[in-house]
Formats: sequence, structure tokens, C-alpha cells
Amino acid sequence: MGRRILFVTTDQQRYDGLGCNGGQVAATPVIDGIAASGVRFERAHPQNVVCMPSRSTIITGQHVHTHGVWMNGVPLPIDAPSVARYLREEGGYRTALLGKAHFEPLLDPFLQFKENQIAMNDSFGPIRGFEHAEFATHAPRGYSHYSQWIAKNHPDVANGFYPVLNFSLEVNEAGGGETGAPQVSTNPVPKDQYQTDWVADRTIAWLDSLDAEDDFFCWMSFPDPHHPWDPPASEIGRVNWRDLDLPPGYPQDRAEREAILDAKPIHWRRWYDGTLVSNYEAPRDWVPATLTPDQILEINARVHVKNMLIDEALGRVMALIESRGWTDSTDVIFTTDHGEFQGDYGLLFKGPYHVDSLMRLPMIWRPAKDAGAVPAVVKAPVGLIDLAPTFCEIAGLPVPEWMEGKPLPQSDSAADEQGRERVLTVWDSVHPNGTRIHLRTIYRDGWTCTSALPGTVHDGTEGELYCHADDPLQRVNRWDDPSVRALRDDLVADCFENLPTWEEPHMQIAAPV
Amino acid sequence: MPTRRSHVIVKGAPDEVWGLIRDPLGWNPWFPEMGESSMEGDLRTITLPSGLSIVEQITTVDDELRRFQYRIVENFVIKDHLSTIDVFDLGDGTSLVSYSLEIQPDAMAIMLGYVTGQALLHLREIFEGE
Repeated sequence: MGRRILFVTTDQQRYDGLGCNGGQVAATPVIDGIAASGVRFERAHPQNVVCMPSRSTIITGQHVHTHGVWMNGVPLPIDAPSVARYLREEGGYRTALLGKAHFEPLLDPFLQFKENQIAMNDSFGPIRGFEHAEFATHAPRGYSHYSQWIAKNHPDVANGFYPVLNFSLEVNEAGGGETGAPQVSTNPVPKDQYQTDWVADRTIAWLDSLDAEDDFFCWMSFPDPHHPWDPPASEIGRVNWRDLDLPPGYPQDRAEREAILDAKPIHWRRWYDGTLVSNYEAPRDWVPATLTPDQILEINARVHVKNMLIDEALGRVMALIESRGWTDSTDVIFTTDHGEFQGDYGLLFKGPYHVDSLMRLPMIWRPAKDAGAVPAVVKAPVGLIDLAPTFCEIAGLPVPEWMEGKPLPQSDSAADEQGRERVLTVWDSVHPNGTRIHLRTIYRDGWTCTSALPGTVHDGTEGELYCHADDPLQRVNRWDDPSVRALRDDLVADCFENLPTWEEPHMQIAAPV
Repeated sequence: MPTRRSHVIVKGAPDEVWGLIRDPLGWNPWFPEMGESSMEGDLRTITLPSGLSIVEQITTVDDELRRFQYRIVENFVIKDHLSTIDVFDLGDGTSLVSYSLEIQPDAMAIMLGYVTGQALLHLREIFEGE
């Protein structure tokens, strides 16, 4: 019997969404408690800021240009390296993935992808080394197990969910709630039928099916707090949006807001003005410049509610682990795949924008008590790429050569010993309208530096450079500041030296998402 | 209008390759993703593995050009669709097969572009195995 692993992910959750990271609204006592007795990372970045590439990094332990899932809609090959398969085959672990997978496209009318096939065929795996899988996404639509469960047991509630896509299969811009905010609606689904509780229920059921002596790698993957912002109506009253303050990331003065955007590479302002559609992750027909302060507050309130529901659901799973007598032998790792704008710079959703809103992630690791770890806060840069090697280390297995990260450090001194200096993030997108954007980003020494490579929007001369100590909200772009030119050039060189080559041919896009 | 095009070189004589394409109900060996199909007049109804049903109008079966064309009709999402498959004689016992389409919305162009490219790969495999 070794150390067990409960790996918990959310989808599109910000660093500041948790109490332990300074969040002031959503009560997250379960996660905060795990953080207090474990390791809390203050600078964890994804290797890409949208779901499929980021999740592919988690399961493979590889950079985006190595696993090849370079944007949403590019399927991760079914035989791609998988830490779950490695733990199962080499460590004898029982393995399961409950919740959102999204290594393959969700839009799949020809049912080409195994994630969708197994749900449609009433199968539960195996898939990618998970002996058991039950999938969910942001609503009970499409081919997930959650959709099948709702259709079979609660068909009356399905239409109460906000339609994430419109009739053109674009991200829906329709507004609702009290402010007309996009992707906000009133969802009458009872809390115990909502996806968050369903994921926890399925996790509990699977864990409870194990023998007492089993080692397990259980990935519990909440689809929330990702939009649409339609948590159960019964829970909306937990946070009254009228009681909230506007987030610090939102410059309230329009002229100031637009001046900040104008100092960034041109795709920022063009998206804000509605003159550029570069990616599929935000509504095509929604113009950020129309966003009102009240809409920001209403959306933020709903995100806080979703975060509270996640925390409570996790609490139920932790109680099950306690009841099985596994608490002292279980490592708990909590993180997300990427962040989002919640009014920052006047924006919502996500896209080719490499700032803390999207890149600074909550990440917490409470090693099993049996491992004798000491609570700590780690400021050194780490990435989602480091998770797979960490699971290997926990399992007592060597880190295979195909993984490109390092096991997470449990202190800054341990990070120093590992020679940790930087974390890297890339963006590549090709929109059907022909727009191509390519970003390469490094975080090192308290600076974030992004090169905008030549595409259809940038000519290769633009970029972003932010000093986090002086500018925690990344409002002052110092890319063209001569006083830090040498630093900029060094960071750019360092980024390219440490990124793997993006070999051609690039894998083909199979669907928008 | 979004457009997509895929092509493959097939190790088969053009008439042999065309023989697999010109029959609207004979696509399953090289386009299994299409699911089940039936014909009524010039309308082909396909039922995708996901259960979705699509009605297509076969507009061209040209044995001289070796050209097959069809349009998706009666669909609330898909607009302005036309797909064209051409088989070209490369003169050395092999064929170039092109599968092009125009379609709205963008999302469908991506998905149909991908699956038709996969179909051509299946077609190539059939002749690789001979």
C-alpha cells in the first residue's frame, strides 16, 4: 500500500477565487483548510490558457508543442502519453476520471472521439489509462455521462440550462439575469442535480467501490466555475451582486481603461472594440466595450457562488476519504486548467491574453500525512506541466523521459535546488476568418514577458513586459521601455531557448471546441 | 463563405476509385463516420453515429469528369453547403482525389473539413491494402 492521490481540478478558476489566496467573497473553507496544512503555490501557470491544450499538458506532462494540442478543437491522440496509464501499468494504481475531460472535441456530430463514444454507448472506459470514466461538461448537452444521466432521470431540467452555443454553433452572446450580462441566466435545476454535485457524487461512488487496500489516482474534474454563469437558482442568493465592489482589475474610468489597452499589443484593443474576432472562446457577436459595471458584478457574484458549491462538494468527498480511513495516506492536489477575465481591463472570458487573470492559477498540494511534509508557501514559478511528474514521485515511480516537467517543490529552497527559474506559456490560434495569433510567454524573476510573433494581427515587433512587484495588475506595458530593454531581450531569449520546437505538420483542428 | 479542401493520392486507377465514390449508398467502406444512408429520388438521408439525421441532395454524378457533388438541405444549423469530390487521373495508375466544401457556419466548416479529410485517408488505405 502506497500513497493515494486525489487530484481535483476546476475549469477556468482564478487565483483570487479562493479564500486562501486572498479572495474576500466566496467562502472556501475546505480548500482553505487543505492549503493551511499543505503547500500553497503563489505562481502556478498553465502552459496554455484554454482547456484542451492545458488539460493535455496535465495528462501528458508535456509542453503544448510536444503533445501537439495547440488550440481548442485539436484532439489529443488516444494513444498519447498518459500519467494515468503510467500509474496504472507501472504502479498498479486504480484510476478514474470523474467530470470534465476535454482532451477531445465536445462538438462531435460524427461521433469520432472516444470520450463522446463511451458516454453514448453507456460505457465507463477504460480510456487513456483511466479504468473508470464518467464525463460531464458545462451543461447536460452533448454526449457526456452527465447528459445521459439528466436525460434519463431528470429530463425536465435540461432546458433550464443556458445554451452555451447559439444556433450558429458560436459561443452564445445572449444576456440574462438582472443586468443582461452575456452567458448569465436563471437555472431552475435543483442543486443536487447540478453538475458540481453530480461530479462529487460520482467520485464518492467510485471511491467507495474500492477495496480498503487499493492505491488510487482519482481525478475529480469540476466543469465549474466556467461560463455559462447559471448556477442553481436556489443558490444565487448566497451572494448579492449589489453588495460587491468592482474588482481591482477593472479600471472604472473609460479613458484610463482604453489607454491601458492601447499600450498593449493591438489585438487587445481591437477585441475590446469589437473589430477583431481571433478565437472561439468568447462570443463572436459580443463587444467587450459594451460591458457595464453592473454586469461585471452580477457575473462575479455567480462565479463566487459556483466556487462555494465546488468547495462544499469537495468537502463531501473529503468526508468520504476520512470515513474510509484514507486521510493520512492520501495526497490532495487542487488546481485548475486556466483562469479568466472577470472585468479586468473591461474584458470577460479568455483568449490570447497572457496576464495574471488567465495565467495565475490556484494550486494547492497537501501531501499525505504519512509523507511527513511541512506546510509551506511556494513563490517559485511552477506549471501544470509539473503535475504528472509529481504524481509519479508520490507513487514512488521514476519520472519517465517523455514528461517535460519536474516534481512540484514543497518549499522555495527545494525549488532552488531543482533550479527552477521560469514557467512558459504559449498561444497559437487560427480562426476560420483567417486570423492567426501566436504568443510566447515567460515568467521569471517577477516579470512576465510575452512576444507576439508574426501572424495576421502582429508583425513580430509587439510584445508585453510587466513587473509584478511594481505593477501587480499588469497595466503598464514596458515592452518598449529602453531602461529594461536588456532584461526584455534576455527574457525573450530565455523563453525561446527553453521552449520545445513546434514541429510541422501541426495536428489538424477537428472542431471549434 | 468558409471553404475547406482536402486531397490524397490513391494507388488505384481513376475508374476504380471513382467506382467507390459515384454510388451514393456505397460510401461506408471509405466514409464510415457518415453512418447509415438511404436514397429517395435524388435525396440521400444519412443518419450519423450520433443519431443526427441529415438530408442531402445529390446534384452531380458526372462519370466523364469523375465529379460528385451534393448539398445538405433541410438542416436548421447548416447553410449554403456544397461539397465536391473530384477524381483526377495522374497517368501512372494512381489518382488524385480532392474533396472540397463550402458551408456555413464556421463551426461546421471546421468539423466537416476534418471528417472529410479523414474519409479521404480511409479511401487511400483501401487501395494501399490491395
